[in-house]
Amino acid sequence: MNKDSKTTARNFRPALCAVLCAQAIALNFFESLIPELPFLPPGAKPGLSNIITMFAAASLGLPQALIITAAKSLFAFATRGFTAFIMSISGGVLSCLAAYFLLKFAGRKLGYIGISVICSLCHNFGQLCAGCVITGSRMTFYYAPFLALFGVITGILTGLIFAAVLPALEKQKKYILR
Amino acid sequence: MKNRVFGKVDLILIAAVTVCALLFIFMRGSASDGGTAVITVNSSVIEELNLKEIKERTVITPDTDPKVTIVAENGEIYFESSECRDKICVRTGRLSKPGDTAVCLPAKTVVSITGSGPDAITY
Amino acid sequence: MKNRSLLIFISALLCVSAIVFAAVYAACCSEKQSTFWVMDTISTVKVKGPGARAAAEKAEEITRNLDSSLLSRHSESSLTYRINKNAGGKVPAEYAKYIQTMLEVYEKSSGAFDFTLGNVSDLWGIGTDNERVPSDEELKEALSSAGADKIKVGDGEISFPEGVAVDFGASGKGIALDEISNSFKDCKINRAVVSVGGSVMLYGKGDFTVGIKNPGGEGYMAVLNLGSSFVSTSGSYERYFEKDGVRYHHILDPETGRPVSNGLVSVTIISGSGALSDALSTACFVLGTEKGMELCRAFGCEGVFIDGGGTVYVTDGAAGMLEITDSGYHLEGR
Repeated sequence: MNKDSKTTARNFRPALCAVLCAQAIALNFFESLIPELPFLPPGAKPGLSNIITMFAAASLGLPQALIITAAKSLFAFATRGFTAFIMSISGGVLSCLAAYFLLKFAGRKLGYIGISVICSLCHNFGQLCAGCVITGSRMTFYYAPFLALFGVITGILTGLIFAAVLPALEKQKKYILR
Repeated sequence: MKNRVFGKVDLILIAAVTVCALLFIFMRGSASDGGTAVITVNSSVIEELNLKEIKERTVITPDTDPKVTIVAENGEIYFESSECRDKICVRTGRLSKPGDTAVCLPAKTVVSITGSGPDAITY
Repeated sequence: MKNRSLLIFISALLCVSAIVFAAVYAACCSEKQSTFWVMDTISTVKVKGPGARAAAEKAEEITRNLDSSLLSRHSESSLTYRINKNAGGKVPAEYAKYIQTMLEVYEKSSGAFDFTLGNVSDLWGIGTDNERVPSDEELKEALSSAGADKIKVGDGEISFPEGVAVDFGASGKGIALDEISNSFKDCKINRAVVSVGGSVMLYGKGDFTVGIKNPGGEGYMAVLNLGSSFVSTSGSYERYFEKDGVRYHHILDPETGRPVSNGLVSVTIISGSGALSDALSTACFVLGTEKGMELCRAFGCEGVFIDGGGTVYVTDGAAGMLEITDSGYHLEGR
């Protein structure tokens, strides 16, 4: 029986990963349908797929979380082109690493909201750096303070949603991994 | 998995970032008034326009791929159209104040408004 | 307890980031601007970089020293004053070099740039209380003893006959800019714009914009977009006096001793050396548009010539830099 359950658990890990990738991509897709808001830098999105990444970083491990990040970026590449890919992966990887290390080491002090805010800021910062390298112009950092404020707000939003759907995600994990 | 959603530390973090961001925004806002739009393609400046002196609609199409069309008129400059996929540059809208920036990443084009006029006058 | 240590850690992280950011910002973006009066004109210095303050101070010091100890024609402590008084004397190597550069322009311009007309200029007295129109005889007499071809320079010594009055009025500002540019190489600065009486030095990486003063009025009528270089202008609107409805300006024709009148009102020269752009702007003004453009080509410099009718003539390289912003002026031929 031991061997059975172990094999079962290992076999379904990739499946869980795939499901989470699909969910992250779906969230990304729905976000892209949101219209532009006038006072925001164009292209800025709430980053709801971050919820999935955070969950993976907390409950499945860094490799899984990075795979999900890569999946999101590849989706961006397939649908929106090379530039979108670079922007997605630069922000995504930084944010993913931040999530993993914070969840592991920040003990009980930093709540989900705080971690979510930091992930959001990392994501934005990664994207700003990528944008600066691509255009070769330091003027892209002009967006920085506005993006930071926006990042705080979306971080709070994402953190709240994360806390709310966490039980559901746990349930999903238990169900798939049996 | 952890329990806490929001705590003291979170609050401090958010407050600190918000304050810093607002500080930067206000510092930028008090910059001098001006009107030179600088168009950069691939890190080199290809065009500088004094927006105040532009009396008629000026169209610039730098040699980029994807192609972008930049229009300057009435003291403003903006990406009128672009062949890029996301069209973030176009959606940025009109630039008129120093610091205003619009970027088209695929075309590696940056349009931004700098300070007030030439570096020096020769006489 | 762990609560507090995490708090401290995060605050420390934020502080460190803020400090790092501020340091980087200060290092790259620290900027110093200063304005001062020297060589009978106004100078402005704008420097960007970690060594900005030191560089700006140095620029002012160099200009003042150069004027008072070497180039000024009227200050008694100046070398130029003394060699003019003694018709020659011992001179340091860099001074000899300045003279040699000016001689080169004199020769290549077929005498249009004659920097020995100090006594002739004094007859007109422009800028002093004795502004007057000299008589033909006075001019003839002063001119006959002047002439840069009479100068002998070499081996740390210069000599010329009496009556020759070496005058750095047309090149002193450019010389100062050259010295400033050299001294900036040792300072930690990224970018600098220095203007000494309208002669401009652009230093550092990147692009600059220089406005050309509107000869007919306020502000600037065109903008030059260019990289680091030196830009100088000679114009009939800079120093002049009016008598009986006639305007007498300060750029003299070496043959007649009278203000040049060939239709030009402004000549701007762009080159890699301050002394050269200064001297050439005067030389080209005297020569007129056609010969002036040839002289530019001979020295590998670019020029913008503006005549009284609002027509602007440019050398090939200058065409790419120039952007006329005033509709009262138009480019010739293009």
